[in-house]
Amino acid sequence: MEFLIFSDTWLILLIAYIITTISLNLEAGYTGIPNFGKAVFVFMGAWAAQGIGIRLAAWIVEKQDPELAQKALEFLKDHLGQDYPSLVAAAADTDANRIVANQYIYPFLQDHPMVVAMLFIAIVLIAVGLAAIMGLIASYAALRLREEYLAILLLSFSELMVMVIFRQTESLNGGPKGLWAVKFVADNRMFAIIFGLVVVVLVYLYAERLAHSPMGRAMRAVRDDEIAAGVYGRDVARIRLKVIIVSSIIASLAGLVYIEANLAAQSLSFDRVYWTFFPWAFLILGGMANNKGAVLGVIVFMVLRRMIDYGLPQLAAGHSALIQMGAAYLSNILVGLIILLVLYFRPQGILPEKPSKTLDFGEILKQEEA
Amino acid sequence: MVEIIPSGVFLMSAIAYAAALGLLSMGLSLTYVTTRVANFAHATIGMLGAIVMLFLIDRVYYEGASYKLFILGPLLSFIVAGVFAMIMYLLVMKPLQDKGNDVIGLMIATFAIDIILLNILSFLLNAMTGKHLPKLYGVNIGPWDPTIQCCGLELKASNFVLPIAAVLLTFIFHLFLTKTKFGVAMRATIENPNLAAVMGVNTNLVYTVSWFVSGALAGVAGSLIAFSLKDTSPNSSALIIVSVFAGSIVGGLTSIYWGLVGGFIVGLAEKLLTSIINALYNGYFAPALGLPEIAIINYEKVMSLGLVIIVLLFAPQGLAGVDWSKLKQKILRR
Repeated sequence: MEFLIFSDTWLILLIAYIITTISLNLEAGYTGIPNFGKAVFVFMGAWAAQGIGIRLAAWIVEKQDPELAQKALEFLKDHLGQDYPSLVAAAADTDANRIVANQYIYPFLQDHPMVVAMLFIAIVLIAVGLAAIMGLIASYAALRLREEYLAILLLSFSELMVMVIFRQTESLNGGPKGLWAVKFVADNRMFAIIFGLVVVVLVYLYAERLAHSPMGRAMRAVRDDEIAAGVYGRDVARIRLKVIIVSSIIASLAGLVYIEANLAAQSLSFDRVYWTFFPWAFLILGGMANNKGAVLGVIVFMVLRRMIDYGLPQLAAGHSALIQMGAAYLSNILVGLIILLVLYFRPQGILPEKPSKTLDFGEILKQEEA
Repeated sequence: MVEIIPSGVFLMSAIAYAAALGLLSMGLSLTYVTTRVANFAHATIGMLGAIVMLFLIDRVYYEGASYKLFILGPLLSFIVAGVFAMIMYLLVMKPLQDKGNDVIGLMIATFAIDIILLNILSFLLNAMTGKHLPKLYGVNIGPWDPTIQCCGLELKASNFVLPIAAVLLTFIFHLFLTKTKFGVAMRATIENPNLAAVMGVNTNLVYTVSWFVSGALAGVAGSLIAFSLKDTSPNSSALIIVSVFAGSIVGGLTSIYWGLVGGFIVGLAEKLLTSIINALYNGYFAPALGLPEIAIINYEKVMSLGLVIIVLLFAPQGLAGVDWSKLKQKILRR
């Protein structure tokens, strides 16, 4: 159907990108921290549900239902010929992970809704905790380095974590293959969409509130003139630290939403093009330091990209294989071109930054009098 | 007994890799000191050199690479990559800079160019058919690298040529900067663009030339390192760029020569240090302490980030910012 080009996969990506872009906006737009390592913070959310979450689920299965765990281990011994010491070890192994997750852990979780609720809360908390630790590490650099150095350092950091450490170490997240994440309900995609929408609304309201609060004005002051902000009694280091940790936590929720919808993903799918460059592109298109702009940027860009992705193959259909292949590459090329054009013609974005809403001066006077 | 001291052949390949990183880091620092652009597309521009080499092998030297390949290839790459970088500056970076984009906006722009270039190259390589090669995308051109007998070792020709090319290019560039009038103008522009412009230096020309040189150096490095890469697909640049930036930051981002040194140090650390640590750990510590074996060789890129962190902690301005004469005095006094 022509109008049904916007699939649920697209919707999930849109939600995850909106969350990531709002969090990037807090850092880059409001506080002026050029975070070029967004991918690793997003990835932390995915890891909490993949590498850590599936181990946790397997451990719960082992404690709650030792018979099932024993059955699973015997099944693995028969079919894979491998002897795993425990279900946790089997769940984290790339060969056995798919079988353990799909045949034993998912059915067990479906029969135990209380366990699912606890597990969900635990995984969210783990994602938040991991992201906070990562943010703390990043803030160590962010408090000390100039813009360009910080951008390059964070980019290298995220590339190394995702492309080298997590890809090469099988015990962390299944290496290059990746692991299956914990599935909470039968229709996990729907669950992820609802969870994602809730997160989007909460995060947006929080970001709006933060932007118009005294803290938001302090963030802008830090961005525009660090020294002046310091002179007026703002603790610049503290503000930066807070913003980085908060936005890292928000970004990790995006990763969690994404992985819950797709369940299995390689560490490699969290690369710098899709989870660092794209959020930056959305932000620049929509407008820095404006939450509405950030959301609008994602929507405009994703709709455009979807239309390109959908329309080009339609145009190319019937032509030679060469043109059909070119259509796939052209989509990415157009994304790059759009960024360059926006930077040239409208560097402030679709919705430029507005003065923050404060109480009307007359109203303040009235309150004083009262 | 495990070999801890690496073999001569491995040493040579490590030096070649380090030399390539040095050239790339030097070019990156050059565009940074002149135009304040940290170019994320730098490694992909370098891959243009690798693709030139691939085409030369496919069209001309398929039957067997002669020494001509190692003269013609880098020369052509020098021009192709240099011209591309120059066009990139004139067509994109300069207009954006004139529009008043800040450092971060320009970084995003180079990111965008990286994506555009990567996809165009991937498409072209996939779409074209080779004259001799069955396909052009993802070819390993290592087999066309002849072996040279030298000092009792069987060295790969590219490993031999790369350090020589790096030294030669640096020497020529140094002569260019110090002995020619234009080179002096270039140095003046780096020191103080406004003053140089007042004194009649055409700063725009200087910037354009600096982008050409930067791209050209990357092209030469890319054309020769291509033999050691797993394949010559443009995506190989994704991880190289991390090392290149590491090299530039270790060098300090503000000095061209220190950029070269930084790249060289990072390259050596990645290849040599990881292999030594790998041999030490898996040969001695792991068996002695009963720890599992780890293929540390796979984590060589961790070394570059580690170096960057150490340098930024102890010398935030990089090696270029270290007061060497003071340091020397301090050490001598002890």
